[in-house]
Amino acid sequence: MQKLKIHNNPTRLTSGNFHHFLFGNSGTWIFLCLFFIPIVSISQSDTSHKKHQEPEHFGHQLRLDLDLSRPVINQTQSTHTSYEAAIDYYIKNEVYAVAEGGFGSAVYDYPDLSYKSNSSFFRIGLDKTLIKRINNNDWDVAFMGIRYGAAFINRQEAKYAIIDSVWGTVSGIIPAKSFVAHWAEITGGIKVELLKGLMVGWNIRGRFLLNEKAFRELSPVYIAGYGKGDKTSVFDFNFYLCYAVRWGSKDIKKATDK
Amino acid sequence: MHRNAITFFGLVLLAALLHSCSKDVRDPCLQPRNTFLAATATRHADTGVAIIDTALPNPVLIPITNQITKYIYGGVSKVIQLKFTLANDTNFSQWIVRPDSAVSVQDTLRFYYQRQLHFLSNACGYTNFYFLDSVQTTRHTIDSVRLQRQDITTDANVENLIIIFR
Repeated sequence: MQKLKIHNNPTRLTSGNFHHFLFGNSGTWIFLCLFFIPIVSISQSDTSHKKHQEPEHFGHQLRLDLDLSRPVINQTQSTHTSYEAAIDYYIKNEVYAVAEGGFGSAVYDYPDLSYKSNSSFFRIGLDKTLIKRINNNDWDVAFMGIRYGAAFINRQEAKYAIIDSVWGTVSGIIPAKSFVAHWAEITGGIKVELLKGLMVGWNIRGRFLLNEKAFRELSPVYIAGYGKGDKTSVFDFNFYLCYAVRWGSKDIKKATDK
Repeated sequence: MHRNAITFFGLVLLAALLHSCSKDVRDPCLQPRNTFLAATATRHADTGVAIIDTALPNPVLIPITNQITKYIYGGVSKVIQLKFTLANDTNFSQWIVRPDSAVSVQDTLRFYYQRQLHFLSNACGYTNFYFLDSVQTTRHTIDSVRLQRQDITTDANVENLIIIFR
Protein backbone atom coordinates (compact mmCIF):
# COMPACT_ATOMS: atom_id res chain seq x y z
CA MET A 1 0.00 0.00 0.00
CA GLN A 2 1.24 3.47 -0.84
CA LYS A 3 0.44 5.85 2.01
CA LEU A 4 0.00 9.52 1.33
CA LYS A 5 0.04 11.52 4.56
CA ILE A 6 -1.41 14.98 4.37
CA HIS A 7 0.27 17.79 6.28
CA ASN A 8 -1.64 20.76 5.06
CA ASN A 9 -2.99 23.23 7.58
CA PRO A 10 -6.53 22.24 8.51
CA THR A 11 -9.24 24.50 7.24
CA ARG A 12 -12.56 25.16 8.88
CA LEU A 13 -15.57 23.58 7.32
CA THR A 14 -18.19 26.11 6.39
CA SER A 15 -21.45 25.89 4.50
CA GLY A 16 -22.63 28.42 1.96
CA ASN A 17 -24.14 31.42 3.66
CA PHE A 18 -25.07 33.62 0.76
CA HIS A 19 -28.46 34.40 2.27
CA HIS A 20 -26.72 36.01 5.23
CA PHE A 21 -25.16 38.46 2.80
CA LEU A 22 -28.58 39.24 1.35
CA PHE A 23 -30.42 39.49 4.64
CA GLY A 24 -27.64 40.02 7.14
CA ASN A 25 -27.92 42.63 9.85
CA SER A 26 -26.65 45.42 7.62
CA GLY A 27 -29.08 44.51 4.85
CA THR A 28 -31.93 44.44 7.31
CA TRP A 29 -31.14 47.89 8.63
CA ILE A 30 -30.79 49.36 5.17
CA PHE A 31 -34.18 47.94 4.30
CA LEU A 32 -35.70 49.30 7.50
CA CYS A 33 -34.24 52.75 6.88
CA LEU A 34 -35.50 52.84 3.31
CA PHE A 35 -38.91 51.80 4.48
CA PHE A 36 -39.18 54.22 7.34
CA ILE A 37 -37.79 57.40 5.81
CA PRO A 38 -40.93 58.03 3.73
CA ILE A 39 -43.17 57.19 6.70
CA VAL A 40 -41.36 59.58 9.00
CA SER A 41 -41.48 62.27 6.31
CA ILE A 42 -45.21 61.81 5.90
CA SER A 43 -45.72 61.91 9.64
CA GLN A 44 -43.67 65.08 10.05
CA SER A 45 -45.37 66.91 7.23
CA ASP A 46 -48.69 65.69 8.57
CA THR A 47 -47.90 67.06 12.04
CA SER A 48 -46.68 70.45 10.81
CA HIS A 49 -49.74 70.74 8.60
CA LYS A 50 -51.99 69.94 11.54
CA LYS A 51 -50.41 72.63 13.72
CA HIS A 52 -51.59 75.28 11.35
CA GLN A 53 -54.96 73.97 10.24
CA GLU A 54 -56.32 71.19 12.44
CA PRO A 55 -57.19 71.32 16.14
CA GLU A 56 -55.72 68.52 18.23
CA HIS A 57 -58.24 66.07 19.59
CA PHE A 58 -57.92 64.88 23.14
CA GLY A 59 -59.13 62.02 25.24
CA HIS A 60 -57.61 58.89 26.67
CA GLN A 61 -58.05 55.38 25.39
CA LEU A 62 -56.72 52.09 26.70
CA ARG A 63 -57.46 49.21 24.37
CA LEU A 64 -57.12 45.45 24.84
CA ASP A 65 -56.68 43.50 21.61
CA LEU A 66 -57.21 39.76 21.33
CA ASP A 67 -55.84 38.05 18.22
CA LEU A 68 -58.64 35.89 16.81
CA SER A 69 -56.61 34.57 13.89
CA ARG A 70 -54.35 32.41 16.08
CA PRO A 71 -57.02 30.01 17.40
CA VAL A 72 -58.28 29.57 13.83
CA ILE A 73 -54.78 28.81 12.52
CA ASN A 74 -54.10 26.51 15.49
CA GLN A 75 -57.03 24.37 14.45
CA THR A 76 -55.64 23.86 10.99
CA GLN A 77 -51.93 23.47 11.78
CA SER A 78 -50.60 20.32 13.36
CA THR A 79 -47.04 21.60 13.74
CA HIS A 80 -47.49 24.62 15.98
CA THR A 81 -49.88 26.59 18.16
CA SER A 82 -49.72 30.16 19.38
CA TYR A 83 -51.80 32.80 21.14
CA GLU A 84 -51.38 36.55 21.07
CA ALA A 85 -52.85 39.61 22.73
CA ALA A 86 -51.99 43.29 22.77
CA ILE A 87 -52.66 46.39 24.76
CA ASP A 88 -52.25 49.94 23.49
CA TYR A 89 -52.66 53.41 24.91
CA TYR A 90 -53.27 56.68 23.07
CA ILE A 91 -50.47 59.05 24.00
CA LYS A 92 -51.13 62.20 21.93
CA ASN A 93 -50.66 63.57 18.41
CA GLU A 94 -52.15 60.40 16.89
CA VAL A 95 -49.50 58.20 18.48
CA TYR A 96 -50.22 55.01 20.40
CA ALA A 97 -47.89 53.08 22.69
CA VAL A 98 -48.28 49.36 22.10
CA ALA A 99 -47.28 46.27 24.07
CA GLU A 100 -47.97 42.80 22.75
CA GLY A 101 -47.34 39.35 24.13
CA GLY A 102 -48.14 35.70 23.79
CA PHE A 103 -46.86 32.17 23.81
CA GLY A 104 -46.79 29.08 21.63
CA SER A 105 -45.31 25.67 20.97
CA ALA A 106 -44.17 23.59 18.04
CA VAL A 107 -43.77 19.92 17.24
CA TYR A 108 -41.43 18.92 14.42
CA ASP A 109 -41.73 15.23 13.72
CA TYR A 110 -40.11 13.72 10.65
CA PRO A 111 -38.01 10.55 10.18
CA ASP A 112 -34.76 12.49 9.79
CA LEU A 113 -35.40 15.23 12.37
CA SER A 114 -37.77 15.54 15.31
CA TYR A 115 -38.04 17.81 18.34
CA LYS A 116 -40.45 19.92 20.38
CA SER A 117 -40.12 23.55 21.38
CA ASN A 118 -42.07 26.19 23.26
CA SER A 119 -41.67 29.93 23.36
CA SER A 120 -43.08 33.12 24.81
CA PHE A 121 -42.61 36.63 23.53
CA PHE A 122 -43.26 40.32 23.93
CA ARG A 123 -43.23 43.20 21.49
CA ILE A 124 -43.21 46.90 22.28
CA GLY A 125 -43.49 49.85 19.96
CA LEU A 126 -45.47 52.76 18.63
CA ASP A 127 -48.31 53.16 16.15
CA LYS A 128 -48.90 56.37 14.24
CA THR A 129 -52.29 56.91 12.66
CA LEU A 130 -52.36 57.96 9.03
CA ILE A 131 -55.83 59.52 9.10
CA LYS A 132 -56.62 62.37 11.45
CA ARG A 133 -59.36 62.04 14.02
CA ILE A 134 -62.51 63.94 13.17
CA ASN A 135 -63.41 64.63 16.78
CA ASN A 136 -62.71 63.46 20.32
CA ASN A 137 -65.03 60.48 19.92
CA ASP A 138 -63.49 59.23 16.68
CA TRP A 139 -61.18 56.33 17.44
CA ASP A 140 -61.16 54.56 14.05
CA VAL A 141 -57.58 54.27 12.92
CA ALA A 142 -55.47 53.36 9.93
CA PHE A 143 -51.93 53.19 11.16
CA MET A 144 -48.34 52.22 10.64
CA GLY A 145 -46.02 51.26 13.43
CA ILE A 146 -42.70 49.91 14.54
CA ARG A 147 -41.91 47.22 17.07
CA TYR A 148 -39.05 45.63 18.87
CA GLY A 149 -39.73 42.00 19.65
CA ALA A 150 -38.02 39.38 21.81
CA ALA A 151 -38.87 35.73 22.28
CA PHE A 152 -37.58 33.18 24.76
CA ILE A 153 -37.43 29.72 23.24
CA ASN A 154 -36.78 26.34 24.80
CA ARG A 155 -36.05 23.54 22.37
CA GLN A 156 -36.07 20.04 23.76
CA GLU A 157 -33.46 17.52 22.68
CA ALA A 158 -33.70 16.70 19.01
CA LYS A 159 -33.34 13.33 17.30
CA TYR A 160 -31.72 13.26 13.90
CA ALA A 161 -30.98 10.58 11.34
CA ILE A 162 -28.64 10.75 8.37
CA ILE A 163 -30.11 8.41 5.83
CA ASP A 164 -27.49 6.77 3.60
CA SER A 165 -28.38 3.89 1.32
CA VAL A 166 -24.73 2.79 0.93
CA TRP A 167 -23.21 3.00 4.40
CA GLY A 168 -26.38 2.75 6.46
CA THR A 169 -28.46 5.20 8.45
CA VAL A 170 -26.83 6.92 11.41
CA SER A 171 -28.90 8.57 14.14
CA GLY A 172 -28.09 10.71 17.15
CA ILE A 173 -29.34 13.25 19.63
CA ILE A 174 -28.76 16.99 19.76
CA PRO A 175 -28.94 18.35 23.33
CA ALA A 176 -31.73 20.69 24.39
CA LYS A 177 -31.02 24.38 24.04
CA SER A 178 -32.51 27.75 25.01
CA PHE A 179 -32.51 30.67 22.61
CA VAL A 180 -33.42 34.34 22.77
CA ALA A 181 -34.60 35.90 19.52
CA HIS A 182 -34.57 39.64 18.84
CA TRP A 183 -36.26 41.21 15.90
CA ALA A 184 -37.42 44.53 14.48
CA GLU A 185 -40.81 44.85 12.96
CA ILE A 186 -42.82 47.19 10.80
CA THR A 187 -46.57 46.94 10.82
CA GLY A 188 -49.64 48.56 9.39
CA GLY A 189 -53.36 48.04 9.61
CA ILE A 190 -56.72 49.38 10.58
CA LYS A 191 -59.07 49.27 13.55
CA VAL A 192 -62.70 50.33 13.36
CA GLU A 193 -65.37 50.64 16.04
CA LEU A 194 -68.40 48.40 15.56
CA LEU A 195 -70.17 49.14 18.85
CA LYS A 196 -69.28 51.58 21.58
CA GLY A 197 -65.89 50.43 22.85
CA LEU A 198 -65.89 47.26 20.75
CA MET A 199 -63.53 47.34 17.78
CA VAL A 200 -62.16 44.98 15.15
CA GLY A 201 -59.01 45.36 13.08
CA TRP A 202 -56.07 43.73 11.45
CA ASN A 203 -52.34 44.18 11.13
CA ILE A 204 -49.88 43.02 8.53
CA ARG A 205 -46.32 42.72 9.72
CA GLY A 206 -42.82 42.43 8.31
CA ARG A 207 -40.23 41.08 10.72
CA PHE A 208 -36.46 41.08 10.52
CA LEU A 209 -34.40 38.88 12.79
CA LEU A 210 -31.56 40.77 14.43
CA ASN A 211 -29.52 37.91 15.90
CA GLU A 212 -29.57 35.35 13.14
CA LYS A 213 -26.19 33.92 14.15
CA ALA A 214 -27.78 32.41 17.25
CA PHE A 215 -30.02 30.29 15.06
CA ARG A 216 -27.55 28.60 12.75
CA GLU A 217 -27.42 25.41 14.80
CA LEU A 218 -30.84 23.73 14.66
CA SER A 219 -33.04 26.78 14.76
CA PRO A 220 -36.52 26.15 16.16
CA VAL A 221 -39.00 25.70 13.36
CA TYR A 222 -41.52 28.08 14.93
CA ILE A 223 -41.07 31.00 17.30
CA ALA A 224 -44.23 32.45 18.82
CA GLY A 225 -44.53 36.13 17.98
CA TYR A 226 -42.01 35.84 15.14
CA GLY A 227 -42.80 32.89 12.88
CA LYS A 228 -40.42 30.49 11.17
CA GLY A 229 -37.22 30.37 13.17
CA ASP A 230 -35.01 29.52 10.22
CA LYS A 231 -36.02 32.61 8.23
CA THR A 232 -34.30 35.95 8.70
CA SER A 233 -37.35 37.86 7.47
CA VAL A 234 -40.99 36.84 7.71
CA PHE A 235 -44.39 38.31 7.04
CA ASP A 236 -47.39 37.78 9.25
CA PHE A 237 -50.79 39.18 10.08
CA ASN A 238 -53.22 39.41 12.99
CA PHE A 239 -56.96 39.84 13.16
CA TYR A 240 -57.99 41.56 16.37
CA LEU A 241 -61.11 41.89 18.43
CA CYS A 242 -60.59 44.89 20.69
CA TYR A 243 -62.25 46.42 23.72
CA ALA A 244 -61.49 50.06 24.49
CA VAL A 245 -61.83 51.96 27.74
CA ARG A 246 -61.98 55.76 27.32
CA TRP A 247 -61.95 58.75 29.58
CA GLY A 248 -61.24 62.44 29.42
CA SER A 249 -63.00 63.21 26.12
CA LYS A 250 -66.27 64.46 27.66
CA ASP A 251 -64.54 66.69 30.24
CA ILE A 252 -62.57 68.37 27.53
CA LYS A 253 -65.66 68.74 25.41
CA LYS A 254 -67.52 70.38 28.32
CA ALA A 255 -64.60 72.69 28.98
CA THR A 256 -64.52 73.61 25.31
CA ASP A 257 -68.29 74.29 25.31
CA LYS A 258 -67.96 76.64 28.29
CA MET B 1 -62.95 55.84 6.84
CA HIS B 2 -64.17 54.41 3.58
CA ARG B 3 -66.03 51.21 4.39
CA ASN B 4 -65.48 49.68 0.94
CA ALA B 5 -61.74 49.92 1.45
CA ILE B 6 -62.09 48.24 4.82
CA THR B 7 -64.14 45.45 3.28
CA PHE B 8 -61.59 44.98 0.50
CA PHE B 9 -58.63 44.77 2.83
CA GLY B 10 -60.62 42.47 5.09
CA LEU B 11 -61.15 40.09 2.21
CA VAL B 12 -57.47 40.21 1.34
CA LEU B 13 -56.69 39.34 4.92
CA LEU B 14 -59.17 36.48 4.91
CA ALA B 15 -57.58 35.11 1.74
CA ALA B 16 -54.16 35.33 3.39
CA LEU B 17 -55.52 33.54 6.43
CA LEU B 18 -56.93 30.70 4.35
CA HIS B 19 -53.69 30.49 2.38
CA SER B 20 -51.72 30.27 5.58
CA CYS B 21 -53.99 27.57 6.95
CA SER B 22 -53.46 25.41 3.89
CA LYS B 23 -49.65 25.37 4.26
CA ASP B 24 -49.28 22.71 6.92
CA VAL B 25 -46.59 20.81 5.01
CA ARG B 26 -42.85 20.58 5.45
CA ASP B 27 -40.81 23.06 3.47
CA PRO B 28 -38.97 21.39 0.59
CA CYS B 29 -35.24 20.84 0.94
CA LEU B 30 -33.71 23.16 -1.64
CA GLN B 31 -30.03 22.52 -1.03
CA PRO B 32 -27.81 19.49 -1.62
CA ARG B 33 -27.79 17.00 1.23
CA ASN B 34 -25.15 14.56 0.02
CA THR B 35 -21.44 14.97 0.51
CA PHE B 36 -19.08 13.42 -2.03
CA LEU B 37 -15.36 13.01 -2.24
CA ALA B 38 -14.74 14.04 -5.85
CA ALA B 39 -11.74 12.56 -7.66
CA THR B 40 -10.47 13.24 -11.17
CA ALA B 41 -9.02 10.41 -13.24
CA THR B 42 -5.73 11.29 -14.94
CA ARG B 43 -2.70 9.71 -16.60
CA HIS B 44 0.87 10.82 -17.04
CA ALA B 45 1.47 12.48 -20.37
CA ASP B 46 3.68 10.54 -22.80
CA THR B 47 6.45 13.04 -22.31
CA GLY B 48 7.44 15.06 -19.27
CA VAL B 49 5.86 14.99 -15.82
CA ALA B 50 2.52 16.55 -16.75
CA ILE B 51 -0.73 14.72 -16.11
CA ILE B 52 -3.78 14.86 -18.32
CA ASP B 53 -7.43 14.12 -17.61
CA THR B 54 -8.38 10.66 -18.76
CA ALA B 55 -11.82 9.29 -19.43
CA LEU B 56 -12.07 5.82 -17.93
CA PRO B 57 -13.64 3.41 -20.44
CA ASN B 58 -16.22 1.84 -18.13
CA PRO B 59 -15.31 2.30 -14.46
CA VAL B 60 -16.72 0.30 -11.58
CA LEU B 61 -16.66 1.61 -7.99
CA ILE B 62 -17.52 -0.79 -5.20
CA PRO B 63 -17.84 0.38 -1.57
CA ILE B 64 -16.53 -2.11 0.97
CA THR B 65 -19.06 -1.94 3.76
CA ASN B 66 -19.28 -3.94 6.95
CA GLN B 67 -22.04 -5.94 5.38
CA ILE B 68 -22.23 -7.37 1.90
CA THR B 69 -21.42 -5.10 -1.02
CA LYS B 70 -24.56 -3.14 -1.68
CA TYR B 71 -23.89 -0.91 -4.62
CA ILE B 72 -21.84 -1.14 -7.75
CA TYR B 73 -21.52 1.99 -9.81
CA GLY B 74 -20.97 1.07 -13.40
CA GLY B 75 -22.43 1.03 -16.84
CA VAL B 76 -21.35 4.58 -17.66
CA SER B 77 -18.50 4.91 -20.13
CA LYS B 78 -15.87 7.63 -20.46
CA VAL B 79 -16.01 8.94 -16.92
CA ILE B 80 -13.46 11.52 -15.80
CA GLN B 81 -14.77 12.51 -12.37
CA LEU B 82 -15.40 9.80 -9.80
CA LYS B 83 -17.54 10.45 -6.71
CA PHE B 84 -17.10 8.50 -3.50
CA THR B 85 -19.40 8.66 -0.50
CA LEU B 86 -17.91 8.21 2.95
CA ALA B 87 -19.16 6.19 5.90
CA ASN B 88 -21.10 8.16 8.52
CA ASP B 89 -20.19 6.05 11.53
CA THR B 90 -16.45 5.39 11.11
CA ASN B 91 -13.41 7.51 10.32
CA PHE B 92 -12.34 5.58 7.26
CA SER B 93 -13.95 4.16 4.13
CA GLN B 94 -12.72 1.70 1.51
CA TRP B 95 -13.62 1.57 -2.15
CA ILE B 96 -12.61 -0.83 -4.90
CA VAL B 97 -11.81 0.95 -8.15
CA ARG B 98 -11.80 -0.91 -11.45
CA PRO B 99 -11.08 1.45 -14.37
CA ASP B 100 -12.61 -0.89 -16.94
CA SER B 101 -15.30 -3.41 -16.10
CA ALA B 102 -14.02 -5.63 -18.90
CA VAL B 103 -10.65 -6.03 -17.18
CA SER B 104 -10.48 -7.68 -13.79
CA VAL B 105 -7.55 -5.61 -12.52
CA GLN B 106 -8.56 -3.34 -9.65
CA ASP B 107 -7.26 -1.27 -6.77
CA THR B 108 -8.44 -0.52 -3.25
CA LEU B 109 -8.60 3.08 -2.03
CA ARG B 110 -8.75 3.72 1.69
CA PHE B 111 -9.79 7.19 2.90
CA TYR B 112 -9.03 8.38 6.44
CA TYR B 113 -10.96 11.42 7.64
CA GLN B 114 -12.62 13.32 10.48
CA ARG B 115 -16.39 13.72 10.59
CA GLN B 116 -18.22 16.89 11.52
CA LEU B 117 -21.98 16.88 12.04
CA HIS B 118 -23.49 19.76 10.12
CA PHE B 119 -26.99 21.24 10.37
CA LEU B 120 -28.36 22.13 6.96
CA SER B 121 -31.88 23.34 7.76
CA ASN B 122 -35.12 22.13 9.27
CA ALA B 123 -36.21 21.09 5.81
CA CYS B 124 -33.02 19.16 5.01
CA GLY B 125 -31.97 17.93 8.45
CA TYR B 126 -28.37 17.01 9.22
CA THR B 127 -25.49 15.71 7.16
CA ASN B 128 -21.82 15.01 7.78
CA PHE B 129 -19.02 17.15 6.47
CA TYR B 130 -15.55 15.57 6.38
CA PHE B 131 -11.93 16.56 6.66
CA LEU B 132 -9.72 14.20 4.71
CA ASP B 133 -6.54 13.28 6.60
CA SER B 134 -4.90 10.76 4.29
CA VAL B 135 -5.43 8.33 1.42
CA GLN B 136 -3.93 4.88 0.92
CA THR B 137 -4.05 2.91 -2.31
CA THR B 138 -2.85 -0.32 -3.83
CA ARG B 139 -0.89 0.11 -7.05
CA HIS B 140 -2.16 -2.28 -9.71
CA THR B 141 -3.83 0.19 -12.04
CA ILE B 142 -3.26 3.31 -9.96
CA ASP B 143 0.16 4.93 -10.10
CA SER B 144 -0.38 7.50 -7.34
CA VAL B 145 -2.89 9.78 -5.67
CA ARG B 146 -2.67 13.53 -5.06
CA LEU B 147 -4.85 15.26 -2.52
CA GLN B 148 -6.12 18.61 -3.77
CA ARG B 149 -8.52 19.75 -1.08
CA GLN B 150 -9.21 18.25 2.32
CA ASP B 151 -12.63 19.61 3.21
CA ILE B 152 -15.53 17.61 1.84
CA THR B 153 -18.86 19.43 1.92
CA THR B 154 -21.99 19.62 -0.16
CA ASP B 155 -20.18 21.92 -2.59
CA ALA B 156 -20.27 20.03 -5.87
CA ASN B 157 -17.65 22.24 -7.54
CA VAL B 158 -14.72 20.97 -5.54
CA GLU B 159 -12.02 18.53 -6.63
CA ASN B 160 -10.68 16.71 -3.60
CA LEU B 161 -8.42 14.15 -5.22
CA ILE B 162 -6.47 13.39 -8.39
CA ILE B 163 -6.03 9.71 -9.17
CA ILE B 164 -3.20 9.07 -11.59
CA PHE B 165 -3.71 5.79 -13.42
CA ARG B 166 -0.94 3.85 -15.09
